[in-house]
Amino acid sequence: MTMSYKSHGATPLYLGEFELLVLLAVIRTGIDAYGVTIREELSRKTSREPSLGAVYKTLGRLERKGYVSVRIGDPTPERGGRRKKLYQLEPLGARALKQSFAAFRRLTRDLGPELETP
Amino acid sequence: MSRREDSPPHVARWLLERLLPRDEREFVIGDLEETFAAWQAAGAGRRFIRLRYWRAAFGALAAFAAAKRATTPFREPPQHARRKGDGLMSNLLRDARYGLRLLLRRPGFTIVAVATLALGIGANAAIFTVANTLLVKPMPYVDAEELVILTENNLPRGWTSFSVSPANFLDWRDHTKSFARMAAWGGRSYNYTGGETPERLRGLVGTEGFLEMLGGAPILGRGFHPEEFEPGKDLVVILNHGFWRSAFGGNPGVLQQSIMLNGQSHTVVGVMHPHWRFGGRETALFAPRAFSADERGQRGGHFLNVVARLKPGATPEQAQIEMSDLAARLAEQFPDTNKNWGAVVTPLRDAVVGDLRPMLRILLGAVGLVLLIACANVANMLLARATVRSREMAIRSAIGAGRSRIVRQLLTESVLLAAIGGAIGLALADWGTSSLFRAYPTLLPRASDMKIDGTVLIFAGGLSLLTAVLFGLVPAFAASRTQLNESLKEGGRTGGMGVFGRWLRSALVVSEVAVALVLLAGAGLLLRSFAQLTRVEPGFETDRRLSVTTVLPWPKYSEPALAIGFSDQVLERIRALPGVESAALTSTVPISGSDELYSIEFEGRPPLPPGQGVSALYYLVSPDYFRTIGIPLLKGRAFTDQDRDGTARVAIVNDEFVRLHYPSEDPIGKRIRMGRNATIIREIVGVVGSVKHYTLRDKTQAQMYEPFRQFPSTGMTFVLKTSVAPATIAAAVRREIQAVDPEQPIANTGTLSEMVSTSMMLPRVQTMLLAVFAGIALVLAAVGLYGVMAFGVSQRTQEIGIRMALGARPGSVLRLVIGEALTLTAIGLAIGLAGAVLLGRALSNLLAGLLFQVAPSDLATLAAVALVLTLVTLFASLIPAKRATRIDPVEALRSE
Repeated sequence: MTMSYKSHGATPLYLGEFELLVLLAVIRTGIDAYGVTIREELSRKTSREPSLGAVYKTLGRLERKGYVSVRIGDPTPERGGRRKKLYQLEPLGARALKQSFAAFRRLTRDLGPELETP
Repeated sequence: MSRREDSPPHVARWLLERLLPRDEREFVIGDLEETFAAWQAAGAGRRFIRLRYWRAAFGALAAFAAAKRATTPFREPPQHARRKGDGLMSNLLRDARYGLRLLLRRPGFTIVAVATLALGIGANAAIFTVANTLLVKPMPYVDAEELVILTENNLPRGWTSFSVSPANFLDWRDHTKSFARMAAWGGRSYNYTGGETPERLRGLVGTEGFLEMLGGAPILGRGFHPEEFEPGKDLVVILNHGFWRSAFGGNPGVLQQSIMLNGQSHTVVGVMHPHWRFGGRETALFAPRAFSADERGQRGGHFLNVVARLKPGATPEQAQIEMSDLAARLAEQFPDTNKNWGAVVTPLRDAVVGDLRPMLRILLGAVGLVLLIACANVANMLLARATVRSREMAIRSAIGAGRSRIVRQLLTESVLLAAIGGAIGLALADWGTSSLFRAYPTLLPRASDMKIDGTVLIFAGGLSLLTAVLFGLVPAFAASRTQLNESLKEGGRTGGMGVFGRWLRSALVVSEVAVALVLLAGAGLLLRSFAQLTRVEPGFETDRRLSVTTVLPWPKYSEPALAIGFSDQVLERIRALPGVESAALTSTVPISGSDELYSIEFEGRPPLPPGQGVSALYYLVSPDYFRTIGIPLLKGRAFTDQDRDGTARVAIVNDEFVRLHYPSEDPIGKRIRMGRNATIIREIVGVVGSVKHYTLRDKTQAQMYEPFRQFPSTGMTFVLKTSVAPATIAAAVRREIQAVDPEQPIANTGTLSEMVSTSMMLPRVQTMLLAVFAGIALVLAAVGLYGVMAFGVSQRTQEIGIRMALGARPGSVLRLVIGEALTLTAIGLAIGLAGAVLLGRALSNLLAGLLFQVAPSDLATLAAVALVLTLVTLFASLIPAKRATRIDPVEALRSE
């Protein structure tokens, strides 16, 4: 199976489990993806309550790997007039996601309907 | 819903502003602020929100601290990272990282420093664990501070704490107002014959409310009903959890079953909660203590322990006043039995800690001194290093590091050292205390509670921090004084600390020597005292002597003839065993911890007024007892087989008895009343030597013996003189006892030398501990002196080289270095001796209780430890001195 990466013609991009979830949350949150909204999306859609600290840590890692990029948003009153750090998906991140899902599909194939990835 | 407008915790926000990386600050605080507002909008409670905010703040701080660590090696730090005011946290981390690298680069230095600190902090953590458990940690009972132990005392007779008589207890219970509850308890032994082999069990019997007062609740079944405290209805027991598991496999079906104890059927009504304990000894079962009509009126016989719970708001002092009043009234009402008897209220903790306090104080002081020496040592090492590093410091300040920045970095390194030392010290403390209690499980009360817990962790952490400041601050400031120009000019050889640094290092060594001397003096005194103690003659032979105790159950052996028959048969059988030279029996063995004490009446003398009676220790023995245990017969005759029921009642007394009561008369033929049956008059037929009954430290007491056959008792200890190692006979003796009565268990076996050694356990361990701490102090002081001399020599290589080039002989160089070391030692010794004498005087009360036949300012001890210290320091300075003589003048001058 290790050869299959080569056959797909891509450099293996690593994505940890929580990194995967955060990356997906960034995509889902869209234009307004920053610490608070990403954390909310995660707690709404997964059964966990990640801390802001954990989210920051992972976002920082994704940023360093070049999977997401950062731009500075507008200040709002409920933030005491402070600006937001907004995150958006980069092509490298999209590729890492695709690779992860491909791996999931290969690994879950023929394991029965409950485990099969759609 | 009314909601109070609130802002996030200021302190948390301040911390965030301070510690977060500058380029993240705004966004993170903004996020937290927004979340805070959302929680408020959702109507969450104020405390909840603030707590969550703190948690989130710490989470964010940790995340960025970690991120910083992860990024640094891979890419250039961003420009602003060097700017002043950029998070304290990242500076701290950088300093710590740098410090760690430095420490790893000099493993020799690091190992010595860490080991020194680990010993110092470890010793403190260990003693603190013990002291904290005994003096601070709450006793394991609900509202334990309300619990008090009540005892009687009889000061004219020198008894400061004595068991309580039943009638007095009942009066106390019914006629006082300070106590919410009062109960009496005692130990009771049971012969249990339900298991595979007969077993001797320890039980605890308490009057009504005893278990409830101390929170002893059954986990299974029920507690005792009030009517079960009446005689005849008291044949019920609650099993202790451990015994229930071991004897009944934890079967709940045991409830309402009957078990045979002391030949009587008892009903099991409950199983005790596994966590509940009372007293230090393992207990198998609990039973109600019922008083017979006879006992209810008994004031002269003292055998109860009493515990009480103070009413809320009542203090032990108030209770003491009330109890003293009541005792005085009882003494007036019943002068025959109660004259001179008082009542004492002791808080439970004081009763448990007892006379351990002085030793704990001494040990706490000792480990504190050890830590001081450790600090001085590490400070010295850091000072020496600071001199070497003065060039580094000069460069740092040349490129713009402020003095506070340098001090901060050096302090970070100290904290790092202390933290590593503290962690290892904690491990040492844990290992030390647990192996001590494994070796001496009965050494201290509550030993099982003595574990490294949160309090100890906080203590050790705080101590490490304090230590770091103590040993790090002076070198750090000294180093930061470095003169820029000087250091750079001198080529980093001697550094800019010159005279000041040398003076400081010498002062530290002098104080180390002084403190070490104080510790050594203390240890020396205890060692001498212990040596004196081992020289005390117990009055009987301990070599090759075995004792085996058994107690006959009461209804089965209620006829005296049965007990005599049993003991005769057993004696006959064990005398026939190979390896047994002689065998005898006694009701009480000296040093075993149990005793019997009775008042004496002398025939032909007017009865002593109430309250002024005299008493003596009392033993029932078989004819061979004195010969077997090795007590010399001084006058008259020993007991014979003819001294039996029906012949004349006889007694033997010890020489102390004669000295006290027949100073100028011949005691032989005198007649006295005393003992278990005081109505019978006995004739003194012999005088024997005295034995130490309680501990070897005690004064000799009056003692009286009677023939066992004239007053057989159910409790008996067989004493054997053997020709082989006594422990090898124990099993055979047990077999012989059970051959006579298969249902008869053995309570206790042991050699007499073990018993004497056990009685000296506390002084032995105290001496050992103090000796260990003093030994550590000695080694540390020697290492300190060695370090200073070695460093001095290496710094003065050129000077010494010039001296040798000018014709100085190796001998004079040797004298130069050693002379300097001896000067430092001598100053330290002088200060230390003065300190030891002053301290000995200040602590004379404390020491008097610990020392045996040694004065706190014993000159021989002080001289000896001073000599030892001098020799050790001489030895420590010999190596650097030798090295100095080998300096090659040509080499030394070339290196300029």
